[in-house]
Amino acid sequence: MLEFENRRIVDTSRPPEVPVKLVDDFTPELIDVGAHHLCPGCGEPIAMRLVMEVLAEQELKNRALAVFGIGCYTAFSNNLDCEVVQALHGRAPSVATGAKRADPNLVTFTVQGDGDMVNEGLQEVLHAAARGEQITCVLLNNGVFGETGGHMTATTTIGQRTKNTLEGRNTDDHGHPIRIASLIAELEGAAFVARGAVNNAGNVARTKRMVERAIEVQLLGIGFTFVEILTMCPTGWFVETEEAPAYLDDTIGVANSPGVLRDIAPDSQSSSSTTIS
Amino acid sequence: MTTASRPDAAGVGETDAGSIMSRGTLVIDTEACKGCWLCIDACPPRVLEMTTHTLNSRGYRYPVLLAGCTGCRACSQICPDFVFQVFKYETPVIAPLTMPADEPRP
Amino acid sequence: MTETAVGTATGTPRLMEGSEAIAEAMVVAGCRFFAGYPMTPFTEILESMAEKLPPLGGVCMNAESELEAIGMAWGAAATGTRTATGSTGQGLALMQESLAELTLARIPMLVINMARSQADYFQATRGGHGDSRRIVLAPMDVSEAVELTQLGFHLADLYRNPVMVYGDYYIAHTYESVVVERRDFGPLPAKDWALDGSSGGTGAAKLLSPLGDYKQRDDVGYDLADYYARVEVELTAMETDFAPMAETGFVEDAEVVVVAFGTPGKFVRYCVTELRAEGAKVGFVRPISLYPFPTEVLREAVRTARAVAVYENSAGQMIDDVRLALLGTVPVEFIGGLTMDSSAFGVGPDLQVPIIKQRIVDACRSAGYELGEGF
Repeated sequence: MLEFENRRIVDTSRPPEVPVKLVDDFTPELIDVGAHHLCPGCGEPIAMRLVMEVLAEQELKNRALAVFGIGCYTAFSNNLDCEVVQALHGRAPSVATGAKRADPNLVTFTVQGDGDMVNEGLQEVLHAAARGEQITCVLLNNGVFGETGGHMTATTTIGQRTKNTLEGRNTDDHGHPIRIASLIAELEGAAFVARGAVNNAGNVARTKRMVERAIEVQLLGIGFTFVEILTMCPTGWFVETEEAPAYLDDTIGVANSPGVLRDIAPDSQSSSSTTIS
Repeated sequence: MTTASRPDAAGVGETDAGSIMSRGTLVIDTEACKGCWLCIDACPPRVLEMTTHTLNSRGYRYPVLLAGCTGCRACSQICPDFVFQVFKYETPVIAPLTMPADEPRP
Repeated sequence: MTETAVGTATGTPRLMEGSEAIAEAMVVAGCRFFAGYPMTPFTEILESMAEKLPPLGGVCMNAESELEAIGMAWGAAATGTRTATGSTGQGLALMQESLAELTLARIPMLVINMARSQADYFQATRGGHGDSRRIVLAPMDVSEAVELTQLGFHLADLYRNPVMVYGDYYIAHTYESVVVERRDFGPLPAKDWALDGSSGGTGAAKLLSPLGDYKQRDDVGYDLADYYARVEVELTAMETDFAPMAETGFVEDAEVVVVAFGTPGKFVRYCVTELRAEGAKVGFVRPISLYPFPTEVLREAVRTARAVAVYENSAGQMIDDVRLALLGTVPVEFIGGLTMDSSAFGVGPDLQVPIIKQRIVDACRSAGYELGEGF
């Protein structure tokens, strides 16, 4: 970058010797990473970091139970210092339901991708929401089955090219995407439904507040809570890593706009039950 | 883009034409970096720059920090590989903006 | 959740429909989580658990499909709660992936098949992908179902594996006078693998997974091959440690031995007893554990026999295991067949003493055992 040719470079090999305050550390509590193998530029570790930070900050780490689906994020469960039950593809909501019903003290959440939750497991998440199960389902939505190499899911956008929609998804052959958060927000058993994203720092901060609220509502025992988090997948999207945040805004972020869709718990920030759809 | 036309860097801490104020600084775990570049675009004062020819032991380019950091944590919050420690100075540091031309760039 | 003994005073028999008796047996065994989906002839067990569990602080979930039922059971069992689910064969078909993966995750639970026939034998003993295997117990009547249900929970906890109880339509809907009281089968290891959240944040948070039993942070990712090999060792140890169960009768000098399990096994026992009283040297073997199959018991029982006859309410499935056990040393003839009413799960017209007796007699004759007049 020519314009920085002369700019002074700061030594970042060790902390400074003058008085400073540490405002962000390498890895938050509950995450133990050597080096994980998710792709460069993947949004999933960012999303899981903010979930873990919420649990640590709320002092829930020794009450938390994560139920993982199957996807790229599955291996990341190895890096979490909270108790984990590994479920089958799409089947985390039923497992989380059983665990929470058997031990209501557990702060129970699922970690699922869009292929897992909206393809294989659509029935599970809708029924868990309708029944008002007091679990928090977290959807890491990147519009592809990432772990198998980048294939179409129910949330893949029209025109998006994947390995099994090489010419781009079209409605004649592949129908329309499912806006899962909107579906869930229609169900009366759902107490809090929100969509966030991790493609810029502002969205990360807003999404973290959504997760905080979801956990708070779970603890109030009102019903099902759901946070969809749009994540970057430069590998599955065939884009450069630095282009992925803008690509997210321009594709999957269009139909799935960030915001709170439903919040019926008391002391909620918004008094209306639907702010966006 | 020239220095003068970086609107997001305006007023960030330039005390005079030859110095810059830094409110924060980083420790960068260069070995953890996978060269995804998300921090570069996320940094509001644009003080992160990827190395041009230096790689870490895993073969990736990694960011270096220029003077002018505000300690806003955008980099650490957006980084998928947990590369950054972010510090805020108790007293902002003022340093020369540029470095000698003959010092090597990584 | 607390455990309490439920039901009438100890030792007093009650006339109960089989489904309710099985549910009662589960409850006295300490089961406090049940999930199910209605399907004949399993439905009444779900109804009974929905009635019995909530007053005890237990949970009975009406799942949206069999697939979710076993998923919910998975989650509850992960907390260390005694858990059960079940269905009939068609519903168990939806649970196959979960059964196999529960085996890999080393999670105990009781799974009940109230089968519509005996044609779920292959599914029960071979079902699931991979090298999954589980103990399968086949009661012949309500009283035995009450006992084997409780034994099933014990074995599940002992071996950290799902256990199946293979019941049927008859057991579901027959009324018998039974005593349902808690049985103690011996000490069990502590469930130190169970999750309650408390190991979170310690640097050693627990994991229950079909992919591995510890969090692998060595940059390698999951080493599935190593984990599967270790699970195989545990399953082999289970097979070696568990003594297969069977009932035998009149086999010391039998010319022909009849093999049957479940309700038909009770019919065969009765027929053989009558034939013996009439002078025919016939005997029976009734496998009670379908897996591990009572191979040694069967081999010992047919020492004097010139033929083995297998009676099953199916086109013949257990007969494969009989043949495998005997390895051609004794001829094996099939005298069973699928028999049900027009609903395809009711009482079949061929499940009658005279018909079964005649088939045994015919089997004797075709084996060259002349029974003489009167048969």
